[in-house]
Amino acid sequence: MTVPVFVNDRCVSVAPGTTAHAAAVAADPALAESLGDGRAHLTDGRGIRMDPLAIVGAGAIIRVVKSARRAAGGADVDA
Amino acid sequence: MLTSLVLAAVLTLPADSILLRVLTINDFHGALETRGYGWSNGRPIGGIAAVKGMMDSLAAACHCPSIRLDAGDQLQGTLTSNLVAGRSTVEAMNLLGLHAAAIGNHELDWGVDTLVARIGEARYPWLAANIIDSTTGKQPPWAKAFAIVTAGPYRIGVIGYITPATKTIVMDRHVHGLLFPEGKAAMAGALAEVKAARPDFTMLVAHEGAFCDSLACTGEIIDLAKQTDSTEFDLIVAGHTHTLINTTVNGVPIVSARSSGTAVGIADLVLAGEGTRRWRVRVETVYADAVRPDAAGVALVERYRPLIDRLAKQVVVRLRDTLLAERGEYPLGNLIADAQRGAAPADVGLMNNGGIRRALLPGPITYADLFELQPFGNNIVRLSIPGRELKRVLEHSLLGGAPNAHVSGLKVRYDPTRPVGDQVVEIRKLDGTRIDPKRLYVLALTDFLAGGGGGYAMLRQYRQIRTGKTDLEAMIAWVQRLRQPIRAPVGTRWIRVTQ
Repeated sequence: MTVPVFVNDRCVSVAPGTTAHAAAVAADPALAESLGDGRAHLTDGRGIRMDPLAIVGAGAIIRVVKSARRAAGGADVDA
Repeated sequence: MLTSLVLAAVLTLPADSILLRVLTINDFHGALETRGYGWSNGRPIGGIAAVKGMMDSLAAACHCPSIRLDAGDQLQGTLTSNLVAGRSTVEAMNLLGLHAAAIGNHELDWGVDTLVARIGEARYPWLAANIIDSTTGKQPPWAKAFAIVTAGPYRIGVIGYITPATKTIVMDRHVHGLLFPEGKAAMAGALAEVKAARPDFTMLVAHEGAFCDSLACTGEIIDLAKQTDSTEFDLIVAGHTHTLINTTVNGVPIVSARSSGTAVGIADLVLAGEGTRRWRVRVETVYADAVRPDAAGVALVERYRPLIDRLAKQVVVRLRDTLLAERGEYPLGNLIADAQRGAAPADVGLMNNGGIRRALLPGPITYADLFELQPFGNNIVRLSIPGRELKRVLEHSLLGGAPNAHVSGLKVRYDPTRPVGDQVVEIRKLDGTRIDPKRLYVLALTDFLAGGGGGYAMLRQYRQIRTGKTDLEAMIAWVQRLRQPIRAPVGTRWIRVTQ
């Protein structure tokens, strides 16, 4: 059994109990790589940063947000 | 003889000719697909293909210059729109040929960066003269105050305005550092610039609304219109309240066409027989079975359908009765508050009316239906608050003169004749015990409210304990536990008394 999860503009099927990070990897491994080196982070559908280890349910909306527009500094990209 | 003379005179009078037709929508909320409503008796309503088809037909029929304006809140609200952060809706509005749109409060739901991306994709300007960067004291570069658009021989100045309530009804982190000043004064600079450009007409697209009954219209757009007159604005296109507005204030017509593409406003500037000009305004329902759907609109919806179909059509539950989303307290709101209290779990549930976005019709309820009911993706959190704070929360919920939030786990007696802020006269739990002002109670609610949204600023001080569930997940889990077909909770929880 799998559940659909939305990562950026893709729908991927993941096993129940999958983390947000794993869902991002399933959707786009290359893009998810940028999560590991800090060039991107995950947000929920509202644009709010989320824990990569959060368990995602059916219908969850996740965005992989590249941080290119703003240099490191931890500022909320949506502030 | 006399009759034939009169008839001849009438026949020789020039018919009213339309100089300019303004076609309007507001609060589209990502409603790209046609759907039925309780009030439409099963007839299909709206959808971008039907709205575009109807606007094209209206534009062609008048044999006159026309423009298309939108009063904001385009993007937020459906799976087809939200899954791509509104991109599909911007494509639809490009297709519709909008000339200008107001920025609505919900345009900021996904943060400024996302809105900037959507503005970059739009072929029409997004306007709001009253968005100010608190650091610079100026408008942020992404928010234009006005635009000059053309229609045939006419140059038309269009100024935008966003509800000042945006500061409290959008998540704080998304409007941090932004100010939304109120009233005509907040548009004075833009109005002066527009007038200096000497347009033929000046129009306001305002994401601010009103409620009208048979006697009068009341609301913030009416108050704003009273500050101006027809020497400054020729027409106001309003939104935000999802109501039908067709009124005139100080000589300025105000039109608002409900919401979700269910209706279109038609404002015609007419050259009357005696050579005078006047506005003739009407609002027409978009019956999708009565218009020729626009092929490109159909194709756009079909293009996005594969993205959503697996989830959208899943039947989550069966519903026995219609559940309306109204004002005050209603069964659908109580069902949602129960779901949140059950998901936490908590002593008390609280759900703001502003977060309840549609009615549900009897029969199978799909994932898409429940998504549109609560599209914001808010998380359910728990707060431990003392009973005296719970009273403040309930008092805040009564600020509009009637309950503007739903509760679960409580019976609240209130007296609207008492002073505002002291109208709650008794709070009891379901077992009949009174709420102890000093005791801690666990409150379940969305992180939007817990973060001070909706004006619940008193809750910001309490630590949020996450449940790991969104409001939608909580609702699905709750209704699936109920006996099928489900029915809404019976009875009222806010009990109006007078002492």
